[in-house]
Formats: sequence, C-alpha cells, structure tokens
Amino acid sequence: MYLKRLELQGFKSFADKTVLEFMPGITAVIGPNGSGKSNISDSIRWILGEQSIKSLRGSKFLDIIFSGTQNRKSLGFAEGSLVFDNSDGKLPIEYTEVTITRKLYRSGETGYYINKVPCRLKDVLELFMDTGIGKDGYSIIGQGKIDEILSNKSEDRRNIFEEAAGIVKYRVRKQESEKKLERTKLNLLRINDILSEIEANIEPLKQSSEKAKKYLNLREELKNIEIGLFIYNIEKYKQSLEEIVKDEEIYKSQCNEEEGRLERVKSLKEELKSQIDEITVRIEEMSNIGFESQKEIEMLNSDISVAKTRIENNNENSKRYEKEIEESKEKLNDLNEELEQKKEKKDNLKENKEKFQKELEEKEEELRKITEKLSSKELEIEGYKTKVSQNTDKKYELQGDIHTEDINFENYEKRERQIQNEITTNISELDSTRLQKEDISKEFYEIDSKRNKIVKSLEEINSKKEEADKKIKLYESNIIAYQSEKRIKESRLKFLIETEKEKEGYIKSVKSLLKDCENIKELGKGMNGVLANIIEVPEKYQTAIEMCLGASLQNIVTETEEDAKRLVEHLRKNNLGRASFLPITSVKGKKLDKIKGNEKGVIGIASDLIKYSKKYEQIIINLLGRTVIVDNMDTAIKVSKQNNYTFRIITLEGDIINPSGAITGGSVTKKTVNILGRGKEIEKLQKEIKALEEKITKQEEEKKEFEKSIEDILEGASSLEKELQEIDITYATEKQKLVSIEENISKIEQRVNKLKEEKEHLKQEKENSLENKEKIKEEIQKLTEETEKLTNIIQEFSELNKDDQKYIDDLNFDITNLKISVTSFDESESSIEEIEERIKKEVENTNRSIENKERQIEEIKQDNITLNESIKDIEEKIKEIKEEVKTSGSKIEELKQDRINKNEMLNTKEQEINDKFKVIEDLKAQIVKIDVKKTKIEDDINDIINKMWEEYELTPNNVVDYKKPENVSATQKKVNSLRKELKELRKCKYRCNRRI
Amino acid sequence: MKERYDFMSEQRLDLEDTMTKLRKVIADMTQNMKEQFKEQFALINKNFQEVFRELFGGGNATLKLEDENNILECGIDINVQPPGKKLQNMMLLSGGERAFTAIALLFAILKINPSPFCVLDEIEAALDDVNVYRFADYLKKFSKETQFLVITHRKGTMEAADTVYGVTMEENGISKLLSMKLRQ
Repeated sequence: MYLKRLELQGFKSFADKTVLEFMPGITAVIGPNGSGKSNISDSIRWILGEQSIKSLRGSKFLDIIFSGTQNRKSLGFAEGSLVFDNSDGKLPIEYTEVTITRKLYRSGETGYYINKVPCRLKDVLELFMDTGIGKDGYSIIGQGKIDEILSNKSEDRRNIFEEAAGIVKYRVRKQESEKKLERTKLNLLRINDILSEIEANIEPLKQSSEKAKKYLNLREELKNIEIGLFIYNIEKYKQSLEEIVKDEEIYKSQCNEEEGRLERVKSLKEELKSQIDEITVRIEEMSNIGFESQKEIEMLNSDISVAKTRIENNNENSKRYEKEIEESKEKLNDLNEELEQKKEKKDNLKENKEKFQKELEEKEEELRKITEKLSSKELEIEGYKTKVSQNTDKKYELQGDIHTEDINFENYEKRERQIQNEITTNISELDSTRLQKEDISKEFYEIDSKRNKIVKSLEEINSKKEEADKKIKLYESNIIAYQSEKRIKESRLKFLIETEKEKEGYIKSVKSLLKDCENIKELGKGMNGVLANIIEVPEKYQTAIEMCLGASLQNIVTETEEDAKRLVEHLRKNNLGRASFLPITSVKGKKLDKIKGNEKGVIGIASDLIKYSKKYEQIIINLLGRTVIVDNMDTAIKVSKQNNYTFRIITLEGDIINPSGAITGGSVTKKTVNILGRGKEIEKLQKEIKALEEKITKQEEEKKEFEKSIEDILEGASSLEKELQEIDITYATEKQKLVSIEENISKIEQRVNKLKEEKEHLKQEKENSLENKEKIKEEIQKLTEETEKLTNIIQEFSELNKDDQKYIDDLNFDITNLKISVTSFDESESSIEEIEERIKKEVENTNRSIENKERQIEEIKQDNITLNESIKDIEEKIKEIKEEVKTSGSKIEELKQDRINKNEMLNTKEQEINDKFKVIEDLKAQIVKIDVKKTKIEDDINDIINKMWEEYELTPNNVVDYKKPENVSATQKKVNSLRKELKELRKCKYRCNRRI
Repeated sequence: MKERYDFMSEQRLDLEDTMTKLRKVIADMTQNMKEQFKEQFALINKNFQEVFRELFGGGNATLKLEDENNILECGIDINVQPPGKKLQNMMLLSGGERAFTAIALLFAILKINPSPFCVLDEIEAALDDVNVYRFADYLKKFSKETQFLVITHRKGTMEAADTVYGVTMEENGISKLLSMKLRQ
C-alpha cells in the first residue's frame, strides 16, 4: 500500500486543481517561506478527518476554503482526495485503488467519500485504524508536532505510542462497548417499570377468565362438529383434483413428444445452414485467392522492373569507373616525371654547396692566422683603454660630488639665516607674553581676594541660618508633640462622651430609666440624675468614695417622693427591673460631730471632702456624713478603736471598717468605664484640649514670627551665593587664562633653545663640507694626469695597426656571406625533399583508388548476373500463379450451384418447423387451462386448512380423530347457531377487556 | 396481558445476560490492550535506544512508564543522555538535540510498525548539517518500507529525495506546484 496521488482544489492557497503524484520512496516538497508547503501536509490531515481547525492553522472552518485574492474570487468549496494503491490489501476493503475524498462547502456542509461513495467520518477512521495513518498517529509529523512529542505533559505522548502499539482499535471498541452497556442498563430500567405496571393489572383479568371458560366449552363443541365438516370438504376437493392432474399429464406427454420432433427438424435445419455457410466461405476464399494472385503478379512484375533498372545503373557505373581509372593513370605518369626533375635539381644544389664550403674553410684559416698575430699587442692596448674610460668615469663622479658639496653648503647657510630670524621673533614674542602674564596675574589676585571675602561672609550667614533652622525645627517638634497629645486626649474624650451618652457602666434598670427620662420629658420631670453625676470627688479620694458608696452610686436623686413613685411605676410597667431613689424632700442625714483621738492619718469626714450642690446636702450627709477617710489600714484600725466603732472608716485604697467592726477590702479592679469620675474627666479633658490648642497656636505664631525675622538673613545668603557663583565663573576663566599663558611662555622658550642647538650643529656641518671639497679636488688632479699618459700610448699603437685591421674586416665580411649561402642551400634541399615525399604519397593514393574502382566494377558484374537470374525465377513464378487462378475460377462455379440446391432444402425444413409450432401451442393452451382449474381447487383446500388453523390451530394431519358428519346440511346449520352464541360471548369479553 | 408480561420478563433476562457479556468483553479487551501495549512498549524502548545511539553516535536513552500499575492511562517519560553529557530529562536538552531525539523516537516506531506513508513537515529544521545528512541517510534506509513526504528547506534532505516538488507563489495568495523529478 502506498500513496499514489493527492488532489486538491480550493484548499487554502491551492485555488486551482492541483495534483501531486507520489512514487514509493522519498518525495520532497520545497519552496520559499509562505508559499504554502505546509498546506499540503495540512490537507492530508484534513482529508483523514482532522476536526480541530486550530491544528490546521485556521480560526474558523471556512478558513479551509480558498478565500480569494485581489484578482480572484473566493471559491464555494474545498475538496481534497487521497488516492492509495491497495494492491497488497493492507486496507480492509476490496478495491485495489482506494480514494478518500473530503469536501467542505461554504454553507458548512461537509462530506466524506470512499471511492466516491458517501460515507461517515467513522468509516474513514476505521479504515485506517492501526495502520499508523491517522490524524493522531505518527504518520503526519507537522511543525510543532516534534514539540508535542517531547512536551511537558507526558500524557500527551500517549497517543503516538498507542497508535504505534496498535491498541487504538481496541480502545475505540472498548468505548463503544461501554456505551452499549450504558444503553442496556437504561433499557433494563424501562422494562422493569413496565413489568411492575403489568403486575398491577393482572388481578382484574382473573374475573373475566371464568366467562372465558364457558366460551371455551362452546368453542370445543363447535370445533368437533366443524372440523368433521372441514374434513369432508377437503376429501371432496382432493378427489376432483386427482382427476384433473391425470388429464394434465396426458396433455403434457403429447406436448413433449411434439417438441422432441420439432428439435430433430431444427437440428437438421441447423446442419444445412452450417453447410451453406461453409460453402459461402469457400467461395469467398477462392475468389480471394484469385484476387491475391493478381496482386502478387503485379508485385513480381514491379520487382522485375526494379531489377532491370538496377542492372542499367550498374552498367553506367562500371563505365564511369573505367573512365576514372584511365584519368588516374595519366596523372600517375605526370607525377613520376616531376619526381625525376626534382631529383636532378637536388643533385645540382649539392655540388654548389660543396664548392662554397671549401671557400669558406680557406677564408677562415686565413683570418685565424692574422688575428693570432695581432692579438697579444692588442690585449695590452685594450687594457689601457678600459683604464682610461674608468678614469674619466671616476672624474665625472668626483666633479658631481663637488657640486653636491657646494649645494649642501649653500643650504646650510640659508638654514642658519632662517634660524637666526626665528630666534629673534620668538624672543620678542616671549617678552610681550611675559608682560601680558603680569597683567593677568594682577587681575586674578584681585578677584581671588574678593572671592575669599564673599566666602567668609557666606559662611557666617550660613551658620546663622543653621541656628535658625534648628530653632524652627524645635518649634515644629513642639507643635507635633502637642498635637499628638491633643489627639490622644480627644480620642479619650470622644470615648467618654460616647459612653456617657449610652449610659454605660450603669446597671440595666438605671440605664434604661435614664434613657427613657431623656426621651420622655414628662417622666424626667423632678429627676435630678444619678448620684455619681451630682457629686465631684477629688481624684485621690475616688477609690475610697467609690468603695464607700458602692451600689448607692447608681441611686437616682429626685425632687420629691412623688417623682420617685412615678419612676418606680414606670419601671414596673415596662418590666425594666429595680432601682433605688433618693428624694431630696425625704432623705435626711446626721453628720458626725467629732472624731475622737488625734491621729495624723485621719483625712476627714467623707461628706466634707467632696463637692456638691447645696441642694443635695442632706442626701450626701445621709450617705457619707458618718464615714471617715484615713490614709491606711493601721490608722483606720486605731481610729475605729478610739471611737468605739461608731462610724465607718475607709482608707484611700478603698478598704472599709464598718461600725459593726467588719472589715471589707482587697484589690480593686480598674475599670475602663468609671461612672464616678466620668463627668469630671470629660470636663478636665475638654479643658486640657483647649489649653493644648492654645499652646499650639502660640507656638505656631512664634514660629511664624521667627521665620519673618530670619527672612533677611536668608535673602542675604542667597544673594551672596549668587554673587559667589558669578565670581567663581570669572575666577575660573582668569585662572585658565593664566595657565595657558604660562604654558605659552614655556613653549616659546623651548623652541628658542632648540633653534640655538640647530644653529650650532649647522656650523659644524659647514666646516665638514668645505674639507670634503678640498679632498675631492686633489683626487681629480691625480686622475687627469694618469689619463693623459695612457691616451698617448694608445694613440701610437693604433696608428701602427691600421692596415692589418682593414684586412681582417674584409675577411670577416666574406665569411659571413659564404655562411649565409651555405645555409640557403640546405634549406632549398630540404624543401625539395618534402615535395618529393608529397608526390610519392599522391602516387600511392592514385594506385589505391584505381584498385578500388576495378574491384567495384567486378562486383557490379557479379550483381548483374544474380539480378538476371532472379528475373528469370520471377517470370516462372508468374506463369504458375496464372495457371492456379484459372483452375480456381471453375471450382467457384461448382460451389455456387451446390449452394443453391442446399438453400431450397432449407426452405422446406422451415415450413415443417412452423407447422409443428402451431400444434405445440394448442397443446400448451390446454395445459394452462387445466392448471388454472387445479390452482383453484388447491386454493379452496388451503382456505379450509387456513380456516382450521385460524379457528382451532389444527392441521389436517392432526384431525384424524374427528368424525366425518353423516348429514352435511344439518351439521352446517348447527355450526351456524353455535357461532352466533360465541359471538355474543366475545362481545362481552371485549367489554371486559375495555374495562381493564 | 399475560403474554406481554411474559415477553417483558424474557426481555429482562436477555438484557441482563447481555450486560454480563458486555462486561466480560470489556474486561477481556482491557487485558488484551494491556498485554499488547506492554509488549510493544518494550520493543519501542529497545529500538529507541538503538536508533538514538546510531543517530547521536553514542549516548543512551530510555522510555519509562510513569505508573507501572496503570499502563493504559499513565504518562510516558523520556530520559536521554547525549554522548558526553549527564542523564537528563528532555526539557534540559538544546533545541536541536530535542528535535533529534524526537526523530529517533519516530524512527524507532517506524521500525516496529512501519506506517505505509509518513508526512514530515520541516522536522529537521533545527539540526546542523552533519545531523541533517544522518537524518537523510536514515530516511533512505526506511524508504523501502515507508513512503515519505518531506517538506524541507535543507539541502541534505533534498539530496536524498527521489522526487522533488516545488511550491511557488507566482500570483499573490495562490500556491503553484512545479514538479522536478530527479533520479530516473
């Protein structure tokens, strides 16, 4: 199995129909980025049933369809087909070529096809299951799939392994079975429901069953009688059926006989027909033979003419060859003559050459002799000459040297002058720069001192400023401290006011009564408030008084007893609990007159130590008039002993000694809500807050004033700073100037020094150059003297040898001429040899061609002989064929006569057949009639049997026991009456069923 | 009525019978799957090791089931050790090594259960030239069993191909196919 072809149309970027043919092996798809290569792999996945649009790199399913470009309309559908070769049957389908097609229309319809037959996605998936092909398998590895294989989630990799292990098929089947199981469970539930319903209905059925029993009895009776009747009828019918069957058989045998005869005649006729056909075929063959022979004769004739023309051609060719041979022979003669000539010429050349060579040798001998004579003296002179020329060369060289020395000297002097000039200009520049520097440094020092002054005053102001800042900070920190204290107090105040408002700390009855009094004015009339609120206790006695008064602190003070009564009633009416009242009009007390003893620790009588309005004097005396406050327990005990326990004593810590001698004391739990001091504390806090606010405003004012006072200082500081900045800038520029001028001066000084050094150096050089010049002049003098001597010697010698020299020159000229002519002889000789060679080759070629041609002529002769022979053969063959044609013509005539006879015989046979057909048809019609009768009787019998089955579920085989009726018509009547009765019962039964 | 009752009772028996049969089928199938998966997994693991060594020129690699008791649901771990490195989890490899490991796994699977054809979409893009040639050699080796359709930019892979198709976009937005058959 392999992939044969992929066809795409309208799939993504493949707008036109595209076909990819695949061969087994590796197919590569290449192309630039974005050209749509990956769409090919996407398409394969799509065709194989990919459902996820995202994995096809689209956002909605319509992205699959080619969506058009600027120049092209979008398409209405996308189609892709994969064609597999399934000749090895790997796919479980009976075709050798399988085409999987998927189509998607813009309307959203989609369809799968296997070999063009519509199918479901499931069919496609099942087809490829466990082949490794499939959208989840490992056969299509897309970009990014690699990452999926190696993805973090190791569960994602399972798909590939499962496909590879071939268990996907099982997994799908398992899921299907699970689904089926689920369905079965549902069905079972439904059936159970129905069953329970039916069980409920079974009871009423029993009642009707009794009636049914009666019905059954009647029916049994009817059955007995009616079946007898049925049996009688059946037997009657069967008898008539047998008779009819006998008739039918007779007719059938007759018919068969006739048909047998007809067959025989038919076969005879067929035989005749085939004979006639055979004859016709033979006639045709014969005439064909005649025709073909004619064709063959023509062909043979054309062969003959071909052979003849070929002979003629051959004759012409042989003539032409002979002529050519003649020509070649003539040419051969010419060539041989030319060769002879060339040989003669060559011999001449050899003779001349030998002559010249002899002369050349003689001349060379002579030359050698003369030169030997001259050579020794000449060598000497030559030496002198070279010496002279060397000397003149050297002289020129030295003169050049002198010249360069002169130029050098001049250059040195020029440079010296230049340097002198430069030195003077630099020195003047140096002077002017120094003056400038003095000016600048003066200015600079002025600025520096000014700057120092400003810095000093700025420092002073800054220190002042810092002090001021410190002071301001002090103010600010004070203000903050006050403010935080104020905040704490305010929050405490707020808390206290809130608790006072809510009457917290009072027992429930007092709390609700107070609230009610605030709300209802009528009720609050004459109510002066709680005792705790009408007294003011100094802080140090607070604990003592609180302990002393205890619950009485929450007693309510009223104007009169009436008021108290009203309030009590209110409490009762509203079920608010109990409270104590202190009416001003009724409560009276007696104050202690004197405290015996004179203990230091006694502070005083409690009623004297607290403040209250005069109005409540009696109440306070009543409660505290006989209570003494002391500093501690020891004093308390002493005092109580001294006074014989006549009053109550209480320490500052709240321990109590009662007149009875009982002592109460211990620790006092600190309460957040202290009802006794609350009113007072609120006032105190308010006062404190006010004081703090005043303090804050005072501090702030002071701070403001102070800030105003230091404003001048700050202004001065900033203006000074500004001034300093400006001065700093000028200071820096001046400093820069000074530095640059100093640099300038040092540079100029350096330059002057360098120039002076150079000047010294130049002087030295000048002296050197003068010395050199002197030396060179001396040398030149020497050289000129030597040269003069040598030229004199050379002059003498050359005059002596003038004649010899001339002779030598002549000889040399002759020798060269001779040498030239000898070499020219050599050249012409070799050229003649070449020509000879060429002629020889040509002779050979000509001979060869002559031979060839002679051979060809021989061949042509041979060919002509064979051709003539073959012509003779062909002519004989033609004669034979003609004879054959003649004999076949007469035979055709005979055959035709035979055919006519046979045809006549055939006609008579056909007539016979027609007659027979008529007879058979008549017989068959008779048989059909009998058949109809037979089936009717059989139907009747079947009716009875059916009726028996329907009514009593009996077959004729089962009814052997039943008796046949003696009187048929009476029995029929009885049957009818029984049926009527049964019908009544059936109606009743139907009603019963309806009721159920 | 009675008939109906009898009929329904019979049906109920039938259904109960079917259910037990189905349960047995599912159990059988699960057992089958387990056995087959275990067997095939061991084979894949063995081949993976071989292919990995051939491709990387040494090293070691193993596949491991995360839960031996629940082989049909659990994940699969891949531990690899490229030559000269420590044994490590896949995530710690370089991109090229990872791609190459995945390719090794793919070839290991193809070795056991050759799929009739295989589409590879630029899976070798991250490999270096030497490894691309190794990849191409392997492709050739497997191309007798499996038909390959490779989408590629790499010369080494193209050289191994028998047929080459070129995709161009002469007209904007429309892909065109050019066929260039090579070896014939």
